[in-house]
Amino acid sequence: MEPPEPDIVTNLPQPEVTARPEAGSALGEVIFDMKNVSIWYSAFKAVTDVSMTVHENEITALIGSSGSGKTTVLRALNRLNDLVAGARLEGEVAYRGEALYGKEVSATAVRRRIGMVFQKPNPFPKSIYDNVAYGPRINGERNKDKLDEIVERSLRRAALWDEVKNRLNTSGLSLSGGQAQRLCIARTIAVEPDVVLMDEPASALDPIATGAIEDLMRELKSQYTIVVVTHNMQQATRVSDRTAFFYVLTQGDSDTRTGVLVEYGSTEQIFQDPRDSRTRAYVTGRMG
Amino acid sequence: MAPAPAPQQKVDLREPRSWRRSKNRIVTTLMVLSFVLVIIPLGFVLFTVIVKGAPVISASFLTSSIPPNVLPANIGGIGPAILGTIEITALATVLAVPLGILGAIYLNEYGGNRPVARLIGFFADVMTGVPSIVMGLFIFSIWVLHFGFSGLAGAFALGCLMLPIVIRSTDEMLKLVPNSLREGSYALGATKARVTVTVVLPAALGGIVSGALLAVARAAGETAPLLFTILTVTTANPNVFSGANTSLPSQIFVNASSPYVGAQGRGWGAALTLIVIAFILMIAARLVTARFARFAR
Repeated sequence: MEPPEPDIVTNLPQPEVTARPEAGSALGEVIFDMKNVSIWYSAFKAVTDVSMTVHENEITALIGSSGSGKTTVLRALNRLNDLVAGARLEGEVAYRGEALYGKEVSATAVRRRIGMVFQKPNPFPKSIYDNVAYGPRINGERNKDKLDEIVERSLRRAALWDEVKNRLNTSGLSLSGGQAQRLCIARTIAVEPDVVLMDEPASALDPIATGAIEDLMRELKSQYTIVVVTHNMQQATRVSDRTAFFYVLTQGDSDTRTGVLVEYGSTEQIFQDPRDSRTRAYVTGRMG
Repeated sequence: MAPAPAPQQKVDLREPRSWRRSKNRIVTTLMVLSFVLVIIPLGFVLFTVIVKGAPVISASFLTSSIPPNVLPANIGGIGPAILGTIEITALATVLAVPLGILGAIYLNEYGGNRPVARLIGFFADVMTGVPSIVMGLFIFSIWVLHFGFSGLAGAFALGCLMLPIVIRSTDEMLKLVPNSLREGSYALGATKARVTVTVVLPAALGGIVSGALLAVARAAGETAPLLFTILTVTTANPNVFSGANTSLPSQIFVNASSPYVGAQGRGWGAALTLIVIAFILMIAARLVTARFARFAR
C-alpha cells in the first residue's frame, strides 16, 4: 500500500468529473451536477473540490472511510446542511439544470422533491398511518380516501404493508429496526419525490433486513433516482450503477483533514479496474 | 464403559472479602441513611399537618365563609380562600403558561445561538432565583399602587413566578426531542413552523404539560407574592379582576400569626387542604405524562 499522499489540497489531481459513458448503458438525464463543491462546518473544511454528476433512474453509491465527507455531500443535495449552524457551501450544485443554492430557491421546496432516508431509522412518535401520511398532509392533502390510498401504496412499495396492515394505528416506534427503516422509506416515497437520498440506510440492520432494503432500492430505481452513502462495499457492488470513492486527505503537519472525491465511475470499473491506487487499496480491503 | 470423568475443579464465585466489598457496604449504608434523613422532616411535616388539620376538615369547612378569628375551629371555614386560590392560580396559569411555552419554543427552535436568545435564556434563569416576595413587591409597585388590590394583581405576581419555571422545563423537554426527528420532518419538505407544531411539540407535550402543572402546584402554594397584591380579606370575592381577595397560603399565614386557637385550627385545616390540592396536581402531572407517552414506545 502506498502511503497517503502528503500533497496539499490545491495540488490535488483533478478527479474524473463525469461518469464514463462507455462503462454502462446510455446515461440518463443529469439530475445533479456538482462543480468544485467545497463544504465547511464553521472553520472546518469537511469536503474539498468535489465535482460529479448523478444520472436519472440510477443508483449512485458514495463510498469511502469515515470522515471522507460522503454524508456531507449527500446532505448538501437536499440542502439539509442548511440546518447546521456554521455550514457553508462553495461551488455549484445544479439540480436538473437549476442552481440548488440559488437566491430564489426555497430549501423547503427542494426537500419536497428530494427526499432522504437516514442512517438511524427515525419514525415520528405517531401512528404508522400518520407517519406515512405526514408528507402528503404537509403538502395539503386532506382527503381521507386519497390519504388511505397513498398510505397503502407507499407501504406496499416499501414492502411493509403485509406486516403492518392490521395495526396502522399503533406507534411507529413499536416496529423493529428493519421495519422502522422501511416505514421511513415509505414515508419518503409517499410524497412522490424525484430523488431519494439514503445515508447508510442499512447500517443498523441485520443481513435479512439489509437484503430487504436492497431489493427495495433496486425496485425503486425504475421510478426514482437514488444516491446512497454506504460503508458496505458489497452493498455498493450489489445495488449501485455508479460509485464515487471519497478519501480523507490529511494536510501536511497541521493535522487538518478534509474529504476529497478520488475516483468516480461505473461500479464495475471502480471495483474491477480502479485507476487510482487509493481506490484500489480501499476496494480490495487493504485500507479503510 | 466410558472412563469416569475427571472431578471438576471448584470455582469460587463469591465476592472476595476485600476493601472493595467494604467500600460498597459503607456507601450503600450512607445512601440509605441520607434517604431516611430526608424523609424524616417530610414525614414529620405531613404527620403534623394531618393530625392537626384533619379534625377540622369537613364539607362545610371547605365551603363556609371565614369567621372572626376569636370563634372556635369548628365554626366557619375557608371557602373564600379556596375560591381565591383557584381563581388566582387559574388566571396566573392562563397568563404564564402559554407565554412560557412560546418563549421556550423561541429559545430552543428559533433563537439558536443568537445573542438575544441567549440573553433571554440567561434572564429566565436569573428570574428563577428571584425571591418570590420580590415578585410581590414588584407587582405592588407597578400595579397595586395604581389600580388597587385584586386577584388579578396576585395572578400577575404568581405568573411572574411561574414564567421562568415554565420556560426552563419546556426548554428542557424540547431539548430532549431528538434532532433526527426534526431532520426527518425537514427532509419531507416541512417548514420550520410545521416541524415545530407537528413533530417537536407532540413529541415533547407530555413533559411540557407535566412541567407546567408542577409550576402551577408551586404557584398555588406561594404566600409571599400574594401578601402585597391581594390583601387577604375574609370575604369571598368571585371577581378575580377587581377588589381585594384571599387565598389559602396567605390565609394560613394570617391565621398562623393570630393568637386565637380557633383561627390556628382553621389554619391547620387550610394547610392540609393546600397540600391535598398540590398532591392532586402532582398526580395529574403524572397521569398526563403517561397519557402522552402513548406513542413514545
